[in-house]
Amino acid sequence: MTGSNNRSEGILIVDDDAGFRAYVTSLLTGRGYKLFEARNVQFAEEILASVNPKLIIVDYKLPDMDGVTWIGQLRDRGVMTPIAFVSGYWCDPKTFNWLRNILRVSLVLQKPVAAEIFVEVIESILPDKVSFHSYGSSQSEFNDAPSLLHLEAQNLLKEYPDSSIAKQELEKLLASQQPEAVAFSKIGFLRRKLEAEEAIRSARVAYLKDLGPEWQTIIEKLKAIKENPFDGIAIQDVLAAGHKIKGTAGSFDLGKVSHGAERLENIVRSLDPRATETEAEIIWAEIFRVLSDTELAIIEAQTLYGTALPEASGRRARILALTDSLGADLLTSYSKYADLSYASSHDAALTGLARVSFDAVLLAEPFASQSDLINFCRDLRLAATNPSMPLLLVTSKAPVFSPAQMSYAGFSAFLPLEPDPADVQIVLEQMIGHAEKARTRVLVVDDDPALTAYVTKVLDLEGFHATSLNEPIYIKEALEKSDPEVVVLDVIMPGLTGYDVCREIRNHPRWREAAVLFLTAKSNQEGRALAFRAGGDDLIGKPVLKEELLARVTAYAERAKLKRAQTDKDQLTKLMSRPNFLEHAATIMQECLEVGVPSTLSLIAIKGFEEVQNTTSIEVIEGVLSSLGSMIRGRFEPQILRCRFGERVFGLFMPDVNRQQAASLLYLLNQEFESVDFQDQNGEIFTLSLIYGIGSAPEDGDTIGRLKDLAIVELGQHTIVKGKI
Amino acid sequence: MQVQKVLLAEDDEHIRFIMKTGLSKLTDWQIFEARNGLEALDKAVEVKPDLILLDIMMPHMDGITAFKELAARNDLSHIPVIFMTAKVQYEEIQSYVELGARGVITKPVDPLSLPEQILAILSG
Repeated sequence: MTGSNNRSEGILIVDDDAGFRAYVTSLLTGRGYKLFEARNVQFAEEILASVNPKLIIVDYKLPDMDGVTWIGQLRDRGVMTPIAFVSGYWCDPKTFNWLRNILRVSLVLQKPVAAEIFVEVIESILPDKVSFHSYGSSQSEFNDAPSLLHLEAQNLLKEYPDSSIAKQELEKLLASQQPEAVAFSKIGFLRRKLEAEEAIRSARVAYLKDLGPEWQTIIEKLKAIKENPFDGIAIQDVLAAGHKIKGTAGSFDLGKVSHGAERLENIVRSLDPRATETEAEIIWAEIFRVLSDTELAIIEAQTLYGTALPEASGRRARILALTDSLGADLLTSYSKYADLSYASSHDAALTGLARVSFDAVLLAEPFASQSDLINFCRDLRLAATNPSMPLLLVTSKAPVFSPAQMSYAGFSAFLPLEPDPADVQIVLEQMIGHAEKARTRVLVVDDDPALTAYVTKVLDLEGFHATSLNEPIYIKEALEKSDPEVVVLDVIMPGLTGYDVCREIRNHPRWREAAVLFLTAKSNQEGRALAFRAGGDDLIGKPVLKEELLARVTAYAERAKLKRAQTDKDQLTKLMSRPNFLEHAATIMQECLEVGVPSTLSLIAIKGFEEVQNTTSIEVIEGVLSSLGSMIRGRFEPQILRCRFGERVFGLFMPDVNRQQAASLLYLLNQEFESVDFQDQNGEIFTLSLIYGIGSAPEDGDTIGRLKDLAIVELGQHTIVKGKI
Repeated sequence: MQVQKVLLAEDDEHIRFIMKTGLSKLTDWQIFEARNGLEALDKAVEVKPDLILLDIMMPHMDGITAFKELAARNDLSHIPVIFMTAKVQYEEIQSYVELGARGVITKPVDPLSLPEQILAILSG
């Protein structure tokens, strides 16, 4: 089109609106173009008779003829000059298609047109002018404009991957049939919008951080109102705070929180200090529900938008690493997945373990290849506050010890110094799994799912393992399933009251020691009396304050653990008692049978124990038994169950271990036991050995009772022969 | 009407921040901030804004009082005021309009469409 015979010059604008003509003329003459103005088709035709413009700008409504008709006539005559069509009216798709495809209009613009956009789009359709300063400076780049647009779109998606609007708006923009320059202008605006969205998103993180404490303040005020319904100041404070959160949270796109605050405002407004007790109870139940719902929504938003406590995104394992400073440098690949604390000597490790509960101990060089490693492992296990703590060996050297020796020492896994990160992750996840089992189990019983959802969430975040029950009638099933150490129990529930449920718990031999905490709207003297009479240990007043809930549950969880440890454990050897051992073993044995792995029950006794009993004092006998007890406690992998089976008999239950592997482990135990020098009351040194009996599933039977019977029979016959295995 | 300077009076720093972000990113207006009615009056005298966005519930001096003070001053009474409130009752909103406000924006606001909302009020 450029360089035609008829010299193209200037731009013709045809519009009866003198203001718009002046506006366009000033814009375009400012850019160096020559402008011809016509206020109707007749004048336009006169100009066209002598001039061949490179662009015609045509208004839709012209006094003597409408613009579309005139453009049709021009095209019919073979005038193919580029045309920009301007209209004060919205152009419907049908007209648009007609203009674009039949009349070959280059551009359809709607008035009013912003100045900078107008210049850009007009220049974009001029055949010989390129002035796309912001997007490209050469002709070739301009011709690539559509791909430039897509490039910018891709950039935006890359720069704002979390945006909720970017993808949708870009799709809309790219799909619309707009001139590139308009699209560019819009994409520029979209970029500013995305910048704003991003800034708002990070402001939301800060807001959510403040919102947690703010919500707790509301609950405190509501507690005060519950005590004194005439506390007008507290009521006004709650109303104002709820009102504010409604507006602010909503503006941060936290719809659930905003809605919750609005509900709270409305309910609190309807509180009537003169209401009857029943009326008040109904309103307060609704308040409790809204509080739970909303706080849960806050916690969820905190988790979703990245302000929550680190526990929320999966707790990191806490590991004690035993190594020197050289070794510590080599353990960097481990510190990616776990929090490492370092100990550089045996003593430091033992002190650390006694003070802090670690999820695992990692033994690395130079300690990993020391000859007394196996003995040291026993000391580690005995010192640990967490008896089921796994041991992890990290070494690049060839193992000095046999697999049976390693298993006897209690190692759960071996890894090289510079391992495959995937392996580290798998091993550490297993260890976290062990730690999970050590979490305190809490059962939360309330007929309102909103409340149980909130309470279990809060407890889970703090490291408890919480389950919920909404139909109290199923308390027995829930106890079986969740085996709780602490029960959090609502008082008022339809059908069964919390008092009834508590009595049920107290009547059950297995859970009668569990701590029961009542959740009650009545935390006055009368409420306390009722709760204690029903056998509750304590009560938590509604509305529930997070800190109060956590403090109470933590205190009672520790107490329950202690109590269970005392009742379950043999005083002399600190090992599990027989009934508890058999019950646990039965469960694990079934799990092993289901997945098709062996499991083995072993009974261990001291050979010639009667003779020792007859010839030595009770103190010496107790010394022997307690020494064997701590050997059994300090050895083997953590998943092996150990117990004092009878006065002189000990029991081991080993999942995923067959008869032969069990025999190897017992051989090592005997070897260590035989090496101990005991001293009788006269100062005489003597040594002892062990005898054992084994029952192994699946070949010997599929019940723990059957394995036990077999092991007892074997125990009477079997004597370990040194060196035979 | 040509808007250049906007005064934003809002006591909640979080919502003030996102409103300011939305306005300053998506328009070329200059945004001034105030945390209560008193500050709003001082700022209005100082910068002579073209528009005031006034929250209703604020400490020290609420939006309604601030509005009445503005209206009573010859040099400030011409400035259009848009109230912001989380209240949704029609009567309440109507009463603000009757007071002489140019319009009411209800919270929650969408900070990204706030400029459009304001322009619609000003042109309507």
